[in-house]
Amino acid sequence: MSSRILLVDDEPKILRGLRRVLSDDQSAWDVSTAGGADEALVRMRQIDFDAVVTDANMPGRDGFALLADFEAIHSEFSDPAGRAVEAECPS
Amino acid sequence: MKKRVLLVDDDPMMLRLVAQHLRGAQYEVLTARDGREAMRVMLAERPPLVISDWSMPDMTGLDLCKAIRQTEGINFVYLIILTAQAEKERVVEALAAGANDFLGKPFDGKELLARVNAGMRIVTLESDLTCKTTELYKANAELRGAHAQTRQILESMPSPLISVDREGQVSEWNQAAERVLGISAIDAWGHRFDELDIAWDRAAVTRAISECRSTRQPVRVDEVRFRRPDGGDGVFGITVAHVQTCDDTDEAFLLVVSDITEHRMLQIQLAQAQRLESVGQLAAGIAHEINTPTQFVSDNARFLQNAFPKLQDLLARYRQLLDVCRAGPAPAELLDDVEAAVRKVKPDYLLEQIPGAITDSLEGLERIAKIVRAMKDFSHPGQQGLCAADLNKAIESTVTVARNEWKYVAEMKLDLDPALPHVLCMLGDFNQVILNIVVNAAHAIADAGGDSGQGKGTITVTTREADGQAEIRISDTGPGIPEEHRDKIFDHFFTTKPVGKGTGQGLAMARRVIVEKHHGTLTFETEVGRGTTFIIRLPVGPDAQATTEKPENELAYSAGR
Repeated sequence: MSSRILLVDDEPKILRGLRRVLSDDQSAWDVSTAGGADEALVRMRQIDFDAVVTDANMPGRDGFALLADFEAIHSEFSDPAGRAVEAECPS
Repeated sequence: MKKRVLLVDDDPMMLRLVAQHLRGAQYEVLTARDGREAMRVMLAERPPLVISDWSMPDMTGLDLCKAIRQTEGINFVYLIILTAQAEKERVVEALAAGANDFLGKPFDGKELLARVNAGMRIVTLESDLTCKTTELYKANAELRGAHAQTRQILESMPSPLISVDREGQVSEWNQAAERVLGISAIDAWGHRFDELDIAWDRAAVTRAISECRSTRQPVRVDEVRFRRPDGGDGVFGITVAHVQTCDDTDEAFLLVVSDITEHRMLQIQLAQAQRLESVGQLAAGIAHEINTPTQFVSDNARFLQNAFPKLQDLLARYRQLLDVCRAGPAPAELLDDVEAAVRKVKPDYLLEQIPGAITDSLEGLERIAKIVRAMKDFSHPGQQGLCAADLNKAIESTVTVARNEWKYVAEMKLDLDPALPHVLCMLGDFNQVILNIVVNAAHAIADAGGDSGQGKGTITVTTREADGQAEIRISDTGPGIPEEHRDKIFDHFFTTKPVGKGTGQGLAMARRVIVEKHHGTLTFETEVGRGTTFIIRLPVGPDAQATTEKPENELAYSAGR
């Protein structure tokens, strides 16, 4: 079974670029994307992602707050195994 | 002056008689029996008046007079000689010996006192005179000293110091003036100041003097261009002071001239450094702005790098299939093989994505190039002074370098009039002003809650020409400026930001740049709860038009050839 991964960034080109790179091994990744924290939260409640990769600086809720939400939402799903939390550091 | 008298006589009766008269008139009386004793008393007691008998054994009254007059260290002494009737013809001889007066024996007591009193008055006057003379001498010496000191101060002043009298003639010209202006004091003194051969902006200096003449207040002029005696251009700062003589009948003008060329250059360098510094402060944001496109350009490049060999491989298989098919019917296993490869490579996905990957990459590279261009335009290292400038382009560049400062809290709307004429402007300073106001607008919106997920605010920059002026309006949807802050926002050091965040220099600097350097205006309109608009108006001079058109004409000319 492929890993479910959510990419979050307010720059759509970043999301497209990452998705293309990850498509190299499509059997390994099941990639979803969100253009901001609000959209990401909606997705997180629908799907129990294994990993979230998010931009740190975004308008409104930033990446760090989003990851804290992700941890809380993720623990509500029955299967707590194999989760990963990662934030892209601001450059 | 003490009323003391020395009586000298070899006749004790005479001594007693005279002494009695004098004591009766409150004189202190000293006595001596002969000339030698008299000299001893003289030196010890220093009486101001001496009455001596002429005829004495051993040392006569005349000898005593000579001795007293010849002794150094004895101040003025009034000498009265008592003479017998027979000696009256020899009065001249006595006066020549140094006596001041004489009295014939036998004498009248009243006359004696009258002559002694007269003598004492002369002694007092003489003594006063000596005192006054000494004082005068000392004062004169002090005055000379003071004058010399003043000269020395004037001469050692590193700045030229020039004094011009009401007729316009030079009355003071120090060494620094000689050195800096290349004219010796001898050639300057007494000559008309405005006829001296000095290579400077004479009109500015003359204007300053006449302004000082009418206002009687010190006048300061900077930016007086001059050429040094050894060539090379510079800038003077000149202060003209009005000098009123004590009797109010005459006046003069004192000019203190400073060579501020280096100071000016440092100021220019400082302004440049400040611009570079603000680029430095923006650097983190700019790095982020460059990093984002760099990230997706390299992702896309990596994707293309991976896709290419897959497509190559697939193409090779199709070619092989083509060759086999030309020779005869294709074997089933070869077709299965190609089908498996197509399933693995997913060419449809790749072919769908590749154009987008290329477009995104090119767009990303363009975005990086734009930021780099904007940085270059913003810091504007190549230009000093006024030049005809495209304000729209300057605003776009500044907004671009500052993008990271506003993009999280606000949308940026640029409504720039493409017909805006070029404006004579110091572009580096102008950019700095736009930056300050835009960053302030972003902070204002963030304070109003634009940063906490309640939706972004809006910063709107519009340009248009109105009444011969270029008008730039920068509006924010922030909380507005409270009433009590409105008359302070342009003050130096006024800030509402926490300590360490704002220096309170931004708007003060902005107003100085717009008003003093560009002769424009910087105003604002604000409404609490709705937002603030800063309005910059810069004059569009005919000069600006001329300078703008020139390069275009040249271009047309060379194209015509």
